[in-house]
Amino acid sequence: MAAEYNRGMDSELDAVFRMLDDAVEEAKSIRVELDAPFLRGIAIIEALPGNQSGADKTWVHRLLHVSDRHFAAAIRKR
Amino acid sequence: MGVWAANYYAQAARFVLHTEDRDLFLPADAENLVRCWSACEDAGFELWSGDEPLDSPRDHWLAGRVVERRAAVRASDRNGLEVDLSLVMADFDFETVWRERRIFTVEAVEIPVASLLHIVTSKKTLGRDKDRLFLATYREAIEELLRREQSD
Repeated sequence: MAAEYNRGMDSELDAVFRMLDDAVEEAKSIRVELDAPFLRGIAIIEALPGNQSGADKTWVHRLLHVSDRHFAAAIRKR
Repeated sequence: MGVWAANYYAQAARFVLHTEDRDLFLPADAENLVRCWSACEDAGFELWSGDEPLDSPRDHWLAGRVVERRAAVRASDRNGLEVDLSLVMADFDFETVWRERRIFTVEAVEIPVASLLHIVTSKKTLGRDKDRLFLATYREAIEELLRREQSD
């Protein structure tokens, strides 16, 4: 039973590793230019009222903390 | 600076990117570095240079060597929280970044954060795989933002 489960996990993990390998390959080919629309978007984001000095970003901090805990709890299967 | 800092500009949870990297940009100032190291140690952090503990004594002389080499020192609480104490941000000097910083608050603590434009430009210059992935993800978020703006 355990062996069957592990085989199931192995194939699932293999698929995940393949996806990660693909993502790494894809990353090498990504070219993002800081063109006018990109820079305009950055300017809009920086001008948002919630992004001015003094803004409370506690929610971001808490979200990242939860995310950290989630990934820290991951257990290596092989 | 870095992705951690960029996350503070997110307007919704779906734009917050998970990252293990926490980069603190410091001026190339040996005296300040000694104070920073001391503060880290007082807070229970260990200091690392590469895979080895940072040399001792952690004095002005050592800080001077670190500043000369623009070497990174990592502060670790040995419980998963690691902060890179960096003296370099690609394309920018400390004074420029500091002048245009935002100061956000987290649980009433003030956190100086590099401007988003500086963070993104720096990532573009670095151009590592993870930087390109970050830029591509950010570009999608920006395109969504611009589409929303046009439809409003």
